[in-house]
Formats: sequence, C-alpha cells, structure tokens
Amino acid sequence: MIQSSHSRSGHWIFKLDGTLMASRNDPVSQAQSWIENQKPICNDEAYMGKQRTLFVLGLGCGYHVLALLRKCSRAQIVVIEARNETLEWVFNHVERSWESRVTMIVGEEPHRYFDTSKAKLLLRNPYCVLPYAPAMRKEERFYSEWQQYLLARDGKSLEAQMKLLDPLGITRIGEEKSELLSIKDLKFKMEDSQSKIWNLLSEMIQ
Amino acid sequence: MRVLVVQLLRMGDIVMSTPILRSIKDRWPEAEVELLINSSFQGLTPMLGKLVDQVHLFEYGLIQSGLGESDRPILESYWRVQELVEELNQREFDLILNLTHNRLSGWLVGIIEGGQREGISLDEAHNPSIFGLNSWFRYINENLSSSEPALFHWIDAFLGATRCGNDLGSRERSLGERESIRIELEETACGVEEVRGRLGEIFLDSLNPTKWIVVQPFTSDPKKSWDKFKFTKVMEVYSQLEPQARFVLIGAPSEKESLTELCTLLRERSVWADLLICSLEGALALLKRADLLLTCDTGIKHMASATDIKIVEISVGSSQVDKTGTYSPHAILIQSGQPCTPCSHSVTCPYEKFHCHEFAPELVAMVMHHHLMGNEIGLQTVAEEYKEQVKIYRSSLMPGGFWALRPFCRNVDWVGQWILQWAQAAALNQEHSGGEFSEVGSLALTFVREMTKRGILRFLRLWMQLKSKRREKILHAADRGLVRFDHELREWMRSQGLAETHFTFCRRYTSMVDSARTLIRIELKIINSLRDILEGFHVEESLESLGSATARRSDGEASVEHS
Repeated sequence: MIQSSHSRSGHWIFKLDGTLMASRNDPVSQAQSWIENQKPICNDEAYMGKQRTLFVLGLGCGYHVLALLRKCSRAQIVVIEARNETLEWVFNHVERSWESRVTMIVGEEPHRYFDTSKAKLLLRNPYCVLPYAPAMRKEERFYSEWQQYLLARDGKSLEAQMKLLDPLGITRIGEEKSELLSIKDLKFKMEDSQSKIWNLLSEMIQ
Repeated sequence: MRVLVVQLLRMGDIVMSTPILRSIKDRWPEAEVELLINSSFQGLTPMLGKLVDQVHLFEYGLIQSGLGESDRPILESYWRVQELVEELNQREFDLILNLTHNRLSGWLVGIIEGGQREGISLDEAHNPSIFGLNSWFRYINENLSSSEPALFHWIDAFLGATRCGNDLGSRERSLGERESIRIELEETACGVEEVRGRLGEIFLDSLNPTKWIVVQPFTSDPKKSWDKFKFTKVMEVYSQLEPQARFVLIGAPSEKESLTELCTLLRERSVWADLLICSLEGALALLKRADLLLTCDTGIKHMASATDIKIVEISVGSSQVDKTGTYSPHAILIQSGQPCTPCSHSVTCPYEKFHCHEFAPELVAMVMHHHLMGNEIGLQTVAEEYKEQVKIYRSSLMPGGFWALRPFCRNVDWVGQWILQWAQAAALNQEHSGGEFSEVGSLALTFVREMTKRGILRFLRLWMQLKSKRREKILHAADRGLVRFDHELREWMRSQGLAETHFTFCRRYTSMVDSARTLIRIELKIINSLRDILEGFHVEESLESLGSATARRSDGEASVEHS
C-alpha cells in the first residue's frame, strides 16, 4: 500500500508498505548522491556521451531516474519496476511525460522481456546495471532475478543469456560451482575477430 | 590515405610518439592520421594539435575492471572491445602502425581491418606476424624489450621502423637524410590560464629575475622514484647556490599527499616551494616558461622535451636511459653508478634499501646549478669528482640525427657507440631495402651485436684479416652516404673543439674517423662478403668461441683468425 507525503525539501515522496522509497529530507539531493556512487557510469565518460544502455533496478519515487537522464544525455534508460502502482504514483506526482529514451518494464520476467530481437540487441552492447537500494530491499526476489540475469555471473543466468546471444558461441568450461563466474570460466567457439577479442581479454587477465 | 597509429602504453610513450606522427605527416602530407591511445591519457590530446586528425580511446581501466568486478555484466568488457573494433573498422585504414610492443596491442591490431600493418600483430593461431618486411621492428623486438643496453633510443628505433617499413609510394629517405627530430606538443590557452591562476602573473613575466625550478619527484614505480629526503636536500643546497630560485613541485592528483609532505619538509628547512597539481595542459605551460626541470623517469620529462627548458633527469631503478632517456638537447642525465642499474622492470629489488638511490644530493644540486649557468667545465668537474657514485651524461642529438648519451667522463668510448649506431642503422636499412629479413640480415645483426659486446677494435682486426683484395673491393663500393658521414663527423668534432684543443683526442678521433669510414663501408657492403667467407662454418659457434678459436673456411680459400 502506498502512502504519499512531502519531504522536508517539499518534494513528493511515498512509503510502500511502510518502507520509505526516497529521502524524507531531500530526495533530489539523494538522487544525485546515488548517481555519484554508481561507479560504472561515473568512471566512464562514454556513458554520458554515448548511446549506452543503463538498466535501473527500481523506479522508487523516480528522482534518481530523472537525475540519470540529466547526467547521461544520450543513454537509453531501461527502468525495471516490480509494481504497477509505483509507476502510476510517479506519473501522478513526479513526472508525467518521460523522454522517449526511457523504457519502463513493469512486473515482467527477464527472459520474457529479452525474447524480442530489439531487446536482445541491448545485451549485445556494453550496458550497466544500477540497483536502486530502497526498491531492491522491498522486492528482493524480483530484482535479484533481473540483476543475476543481466550480470550473467551464475551458471543459470549465463545459460539463459547465451541462448539469446547465439550464435556468439560462448560455452562454460569447468565444473559447476557455487561462487560467481568470471570471464575465465567461459570459452568462445568462434573464429576470427571474436576469438581474437577473447585472446586480448585473456591477455588482460594475465 | 588514412593511417592508424596504435600507442597503448603510458603518457611518456604517447609523447615520445610525436616525432613519429610528424614523420608520417611529412611523408604523406595528405594522410589523415588517427591515434589510438589508452583513455587514461586523453588529457594529452589537445596538445597533439595538427599531428593527429582523430583520437580513438581504448578504455583499458574500464575493460580491466569489467573483467574483475562481480557487479559488472560478465560480457561487458567483450562488448566494449567489440564496439571499439567496429568503430575502427569503419575508418578503413590503409596503414596500421603499432608502436606498442606488447601482445595485447598485437591482438587488437590483428582484429582491426586495414591495408598494411607494421609492428606486432597477432593472428588467431597465436602466430606473431609481427614485423611485416620491417627489419627495424625485428630489432626493436630483440633489443628494446630487454634490459640489455641498446644502441638506439626508442624514438630513433621507431622512426627507423616507420621510415623504411612501408611501401605505400612514399619518398624514401636514405641514411643520413634525417631532419631535425624533436618531441612536439602544442601549448593551449587553457593550460596557460590554469598556470596563471595558480602561480599568478609573476610567473608569466619574462622580465622577472626569479629562476623557476620545476620538480617532479615521484614516479609510478618506487624503484624509479628517488628518495624524497634527498630531493629535500637537493633543493636546500640549490637554494643556497641560487638564491633567486623558486621551486614548483608538480605531480599527479594521487601524489598530492606525498607532495604536501615534501613541502612541509622543505619549509622546516626554510625552503619555499609552490605545490601545483594541475592538468597536463597546465604542466606544459609551466614547463614552457620555467627555467629548469628536475625529475626522475616520468612522462613529464618527455613533455619537457617539447620545450626549451633545461632538464636534469635522475635515473635510478629500472629507468633505462639509453632507450627512453630525455630526448632533448637541453638535458643532463644522472644515472646511478651501481652495477645493478638499470634493473628489470619486473624484478623486485633484492636489497633492503635501493642501493642505486645512494648518491650525494649535493652533486645533483651542483649539476642543476652548472647546467642552468651553461657551465660545461663545472659539469665535467662534478662528473669527474663523483664518478664513483654516478654517471653523468648530456643528452645529444648527433649530426646524423640519432640521439646519444654523451658522458662527461672522458674515459667512456661514446664516439664508438655513435659509430655503432650508424653501422647498425645502415645494416637495418640495407637489409630492409633488400626485402625479406633474411639470413644475411640476421648475420649482420649478429656481427653488430658482437661488435657492441666486444668492441670495435676486435671487429676491425677481423676486418683486417680479410683478404686485401676483398677489402679493396668493398671499400671501392663505398657510396655517397659514407662521404657525408665522414664530413659530418669531422664538422661536428670541429664544432666541439675536439680536433683543435686536444692533441691526444685529435689523434684518437682522427683514427676513429678512419675506423668509422671502414665500419660504415663494412656495414653497407661487407655483409655479403662476410657471408661468403663464413659460409664454411657455423657462425654462432664461431662467435661464441671468438677470442680463442681459429675458424677456417672449409675450402681453405680464405681464413678468418680470431685473436
């Protein structure tokens, strides 16, 4: 259940089943701090200048997504949200007209979403995954599934992603293991440029 | 025509690539030259000016962290490289020149589509199709990558490779036609503004009598960073020698804490120093206006080479002055006299403290003082006085165009080294013009290496033992390049006052000139003749036993005796 209120800075915020989804003091400043803590985008100017994809796990009150739009002027932002009511709240209280480079995915499972060729394309380019902690805590199972799928650092998620990325020809080598996978656990079947990229990356690991 | 130059090493290496970029621009004035560098050094690009038409970035740090960090998608690094390769392939390069001598760049160059490739390039079967037809790249692979002494500076070796290594219809230069070579960087308005803002108008006032001394004490490798207490002592002594001196300490943002500590140490000794953590553009503006730079083996010393500032370089640890020393006619290099110097980059120092750092700070202060005053005799005196602790060199651009270290101590045979440079360059160029890097070229290089190890006289003895008819034949074939070399050497000796002022030197160098002529002739024409003579026995075996054995041709027609 959603309970709306105002922050001390005068912005709309809400509680979801008793959990606050943004700062009660100043959600806009909090959104800014959130961005500054996102290592992948802060270290990479390309995210700000290039047309990259940013997967945001959790819409929350929407302020961090708005801040991200300002920071990364050309990035495609895919917001994964577990609940429809959150989306409606943000539309009614914070932002009604989102830019076309924002895609909202509500309640959908990752393998269903990526079953379209357009979505598959997103996985074939550099992207990063930005979890929004208040939302992650509230719907842990839903967001963890997305996070694992996108990072593909466990056997099941990797397999699921590899099915989509065929004919990239990546296979796992070695035993099934409980810890997270690294690129060393993968092997490319492909010839030519793909295997050379693989060799280049291996050189960097050494 | 579109050329891609790949330079994925550090800042200093990018700066050292500027003479090569200039050479490409001179050779193909219509060419679009694009440069691929590590994104960490993007800050250099505004200063490259018209040398480069476009810069591409290899996001080394992000690719590496993407491989290792568990909160990043497992294939992120793969897609990043793929994206870069696609971007580069769209450019349709006619020539890809790899100035990065490592496997990583080899794989990358192997992926990029393009016409001709020069430098290391690896294929999927891990076979290095490293050098194309370029004998200079082979030389670089065998000599510049090891910790063994080298005849050529990195810049000269890569310039040699750039000049003789491609056949895209350009004008060939012959040996001896090298124009003046120097590192180039363009100052930017932002850089000047930055320095003005930090140091005030006084710094830009050329009439101000203050002597601005820039000091960059730290390097990325502790082995190569001289002790900070010694730097403090240097500045303390120097401020007594030159009361008008004002020090500016510079460094990377990561060095701020150590630099602040150094400033405090100086203040305790009543020496005032400004601390300047600035952009690379700011650093260039600073170097352009300051009077002297004191540094270790840093990228800044290469940037300083693009200006007329006087430079004193301290070479300790794995710093290899013969390969990457300051390429400027205004530099003095102080190298530790410890026999373990230079050590290998990858080897940890076995001693409790770095022995190579143990030399008197006072001598550095005196070198700075004499260098700034232009006092050659003073420098020579310091070199003689401290020759047990250090070797002191002047960085010189020789008449033929090659860079060389000229020692201040008289007992070092640097003219011999110069002659060997010429000989080896001749051998490499000659070999290249012959096409394949063949057995003959390998033989030539083996001989030149042996000459380096064993000295010219021994090699000359070998030469003298050739049949006189054969010698005559070879000498008759000497070309115009030799005459020019001879002329330049004599001119240069005259300009240095060597021939006129020192009788013994005069005799010695006159004889060296004769030897040089002979050697150059040997190197240009002897290779085939030597091969004929040596065909009857195994060259390497005979070289191993050089000094004791007598080797004879199997047909007994000619003999080569080694003493």
